[in-house]
Amino acid sequence: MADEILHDPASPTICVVDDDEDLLMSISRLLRRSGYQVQAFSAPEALLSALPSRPPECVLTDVMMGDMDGFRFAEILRPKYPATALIFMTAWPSVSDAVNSFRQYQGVNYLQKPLLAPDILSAVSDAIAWSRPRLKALQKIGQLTSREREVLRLLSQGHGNKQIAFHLDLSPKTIEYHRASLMTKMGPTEMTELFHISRLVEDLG
Amino acid sequence: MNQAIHRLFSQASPFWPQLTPNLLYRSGIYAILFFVTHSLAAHWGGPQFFSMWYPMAGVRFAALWLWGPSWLIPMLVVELAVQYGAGFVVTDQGMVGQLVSVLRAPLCYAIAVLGVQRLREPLARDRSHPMRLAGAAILAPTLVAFAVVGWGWLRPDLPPFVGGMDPLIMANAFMLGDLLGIILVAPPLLWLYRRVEGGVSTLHRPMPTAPQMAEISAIFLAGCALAILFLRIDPSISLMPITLSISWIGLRYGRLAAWAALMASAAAILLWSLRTEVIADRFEFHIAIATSAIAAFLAGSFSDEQWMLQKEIARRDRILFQAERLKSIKAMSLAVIHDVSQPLSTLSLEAQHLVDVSQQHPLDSREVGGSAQLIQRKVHNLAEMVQRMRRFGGRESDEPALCSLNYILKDAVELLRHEQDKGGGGIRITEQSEDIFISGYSVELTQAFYNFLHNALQSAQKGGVTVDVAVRDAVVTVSIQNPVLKKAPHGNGFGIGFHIARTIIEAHYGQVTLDNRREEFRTLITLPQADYHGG
Repeated sequence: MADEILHDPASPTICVVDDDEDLLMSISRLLRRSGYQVQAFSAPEALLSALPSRPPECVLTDVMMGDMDGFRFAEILRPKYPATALIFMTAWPSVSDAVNSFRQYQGVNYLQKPLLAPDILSAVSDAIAWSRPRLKALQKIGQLTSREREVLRLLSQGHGNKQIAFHLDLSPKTIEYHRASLMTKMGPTEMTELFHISRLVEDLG
Repeated sequence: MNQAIHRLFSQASPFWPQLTPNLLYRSGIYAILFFVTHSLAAHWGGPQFFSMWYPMAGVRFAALWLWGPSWLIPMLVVELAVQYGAGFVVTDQGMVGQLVSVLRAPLCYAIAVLGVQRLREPLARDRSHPMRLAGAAILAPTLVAFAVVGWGWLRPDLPPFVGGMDPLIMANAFMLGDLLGIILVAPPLLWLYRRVEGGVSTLHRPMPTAPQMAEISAIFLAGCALAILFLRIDPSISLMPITLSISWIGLRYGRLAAWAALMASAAAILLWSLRTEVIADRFEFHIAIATSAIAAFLAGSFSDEQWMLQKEIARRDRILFQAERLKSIKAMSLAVIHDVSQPLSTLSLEAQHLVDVSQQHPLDSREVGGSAQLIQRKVHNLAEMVQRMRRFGGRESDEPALCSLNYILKDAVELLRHEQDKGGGGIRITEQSEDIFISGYSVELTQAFYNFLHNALQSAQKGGVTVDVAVRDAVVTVSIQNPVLKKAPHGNGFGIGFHIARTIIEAHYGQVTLDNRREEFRTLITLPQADYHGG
């Protein structure tokens, strides 16, 4: 079962970053056995310099590392991978760090060491549930022109064609054209799903 | 004004006495002491001229000092009752004059004593602040003297001024008599009272030891011998050596020793002065002994105050040491949490792996072997950590022992791991060919090096800290170097850590030197090397 998923190109990619190489190896093995594609890095700089072209679904990073700590790493990584879920792991938990990991660094989980396998797997599973729709939305939105994105944003806010035309200082006919083009690019998608995607992208900033 | 007076005499006022059996008992004792000491003074001072030594002043002073504001009103009542009851009051000066002569001294004493006591909160719940007591002891008779002069100026028509007594001479006589009375009588009364009431406070200086007694006696006898010698040369300076000797005793051993020496000399001089009929001669003797008494009492009080403050500083130092110890224990516990959590995570994940693998058929021996090796390595790491902790908190840390400098430095660096990780700058210790040993307390030494290295890290920030160790002529020199920042690091404490670290090093017969160069700051710590082989 594990092997089947391991070779499945659709299986989620998890990047693991920890300066304790033994722990890095253990976590990576656990995740591989659970069906994920895993890329292991013993320093955050190594991941930043490699930067896989396909954003990983999840990055699992230690907080306290050598030259760059997990939070600084998140600051650099977040603009590059806005839809990737970040999980922080720490042996030195504090309330302020926990709060910052969510609010400031947009992490999805803050795990305390010593780690247990079920906790890691559950956190990773939640992280993937968070990142997958966002990654998909980003991918779709990426195909749109900036004007089409604006039209989509206003549509999701409940504006009609005439109101959008007024906001953007365009004719309603042009808005009709952008709307049709938007629907063609996004494929057979329900309008409500389109709005959902638009909101997700807005969340990512 | 009316409100203030109302408050003063209301039941909430501190001056308002509570009528209790204890108050009656105190009043009775005070009345007896008043009668006895007043009669005693009258015996050698005459019915109107209560000089030159007035022991009642000491009783009044001690009572006010001990019993505070609520004693004022009972004291006035008792003194009035005894003075009138025993017929001490001179009746030919009118009612106002009688009341003034009776109440003047106790009121002046109350102003001095209660005023000095209210100057600031006492250091401890103990009113025997030596310098304050000494200040009040001198202020009280001075106020009485001023009151006498003022009354003499206001009512020169009343006795004893109308009979030709100069108010200034009378004021001086009052002051001398009261001053000697207070200094000679109040300290033993206060001491005795505290012994009877509540034992001796920890802030009280212990009795001099036998060798100290010998020194005190030698100094005093030398003063007496010189005084006898000076008496033959120039009688006016004959008491100077006694003044100097009892002041010296006071400075060395505090009030108790000074008081004992003063009593010995005062007894001789006061008895001698009884023979003198001429007031001027008696004055001269008494002025000399009063000078000695003031000098000795102030010297002893100063010495006791210093002793108390030193004790207080030592107590606060101990608290600071404790706080620093707790700080490093916290740092260590955080480091331990970190170091334990890492291998535990690996152990937990690998154990889970083994469980999963064991359910497979057939068993993958490579997988099992890999996990087993990892578990073994992590268990070894944990065992090492336990060894280190055992060294830190072990039983041997209560007694001086041979400590490995290498271990001490490594432990201190380990405690600072979090700081190093946070700041980016690391600590590099130059490798030693062989370990160096120091005799002392490993916990304290680790604490000291922790503080030095912590300061260096704070100052260096990302610059990094280098530690070099050298030995020459059985002296170990540890040099901690860090680059000097142009901008001072953010304030992180008050330098207490450094003070404590230096105290620890000095307690180990070492020294700390700071070498501030343009680009580099260096802390040099020297410690005597212990002979490892010699034990």
